[in-house]
Amino acid sequence: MDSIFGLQGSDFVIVACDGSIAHSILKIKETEDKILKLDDHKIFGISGEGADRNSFGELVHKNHCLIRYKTGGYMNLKETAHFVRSMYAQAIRSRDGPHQCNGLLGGVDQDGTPSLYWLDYLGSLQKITRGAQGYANYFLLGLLDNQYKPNLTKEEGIEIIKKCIKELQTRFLIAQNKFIVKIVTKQGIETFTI
Amino acid sequence: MIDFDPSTFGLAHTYQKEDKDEINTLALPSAPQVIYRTLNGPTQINGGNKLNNFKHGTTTLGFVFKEGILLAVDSRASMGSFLSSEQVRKVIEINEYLLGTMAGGAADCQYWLAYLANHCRTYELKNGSKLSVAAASKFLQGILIGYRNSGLSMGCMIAGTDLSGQHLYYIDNDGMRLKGDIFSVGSGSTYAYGVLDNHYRFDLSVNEAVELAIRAIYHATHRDTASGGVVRVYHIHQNGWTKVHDGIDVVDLHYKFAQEKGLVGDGDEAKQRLF
Repeated sequence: MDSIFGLQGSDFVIVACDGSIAHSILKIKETEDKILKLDDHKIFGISGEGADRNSFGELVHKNHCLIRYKTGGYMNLKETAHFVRSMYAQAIRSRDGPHQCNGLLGGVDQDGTPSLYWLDYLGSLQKITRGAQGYANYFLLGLLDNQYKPNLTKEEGIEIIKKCIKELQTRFLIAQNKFIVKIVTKQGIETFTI
Repeated sequence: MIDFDPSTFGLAHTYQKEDKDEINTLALPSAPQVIYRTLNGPTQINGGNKLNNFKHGTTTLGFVFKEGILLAVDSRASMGSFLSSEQVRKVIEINEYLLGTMAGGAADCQYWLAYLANHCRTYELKNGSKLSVAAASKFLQGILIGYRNSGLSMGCMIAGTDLSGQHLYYIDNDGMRLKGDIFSVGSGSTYAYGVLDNHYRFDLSVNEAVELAIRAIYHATHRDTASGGVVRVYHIHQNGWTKVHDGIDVVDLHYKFAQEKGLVGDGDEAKQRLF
């Protein structure tokens, strides 16, 4: 039931997530940060139940660190996205089955180019400019398509995300009160809670 | 109820339409269900067969406040409709600075928390310093992820003190580990949350916090049949933990709280008195 959504602008990428963790009818926590920081310019928002989100996130983070040490210290967004995809793909026919979580990987390369990637639990990978995971797709894709235009500024991007949050709070049956929003620019990652 | 075509999410093999109504007695749209492959037996949905389907018949709660952490638990153990014990100890004293609460299968909680205690002590001897609460809870999470398909049933909280302060973690048999300020686990948790959420403030004094914890457990035991017995309260502060109350009978609490409101406590508040 997680909502993860994001969009890419001219020089930034935003990924937002809801903060709630639910267990049958209970909301155990409302301020859980589901967007993982892979390094100073990459974020990975993960949507999934229970331990999978947490454990896959940690797996990606640590293996990403390891590969960077082995290969010289930096991986650009395209390499990272393909690397994460391969982690998903390796697990599909393994004994424990696929990692039951989907993700949105976003970030800004060293030359300032932003990118956003949609990743699926079976290893699908697609570079997108705007998108969502889970039920948020149904509510937000229309809005995101409508509001998106090429070369968005950071302020316009934040306004669109706020509209998305408001739409979810209006129309989604599951009450999601707190959202955590992370913006990546060439200067780094900013986080705020709405 | 919204009816989703399984192929829209590309999750055709995990979305089992026929089980939807059985599992969701509240008409919420169902999230795609996770299928676990068990070690022995065919693939099963949502936890497996009836032998493994323990209900977390208990109420435990914990919250962080300015003076540390308070843990409060009830003490009832039930096997279906039979009460096997009213004096269970659901707070497990892992060591002098770590406590664990028990919900779900008693054997699972007791064994794995004892295993954790062993690991903490070994670490302390080998490395010369105590294991942090974050590391201890992470260690337990790792074990539970490994046993994910085996039918363990645990919904425990690890609370303790280390050099960076007092911390509270919730860990369950799915392998989920959450850091938080307020948690309540068990069949009576919803009732306890109602009281806790209403009166909780970070700047409670120790006495106020203990009073709040006792009231929350009492209300849960009053309404939940699987919780009852006595209330036990522990306080974790920077020097370790203290057992504040070893066992306050919830029946006594019932009449005490009723008296505070000027009531008798016989449940006849709604009855019209003719004279």
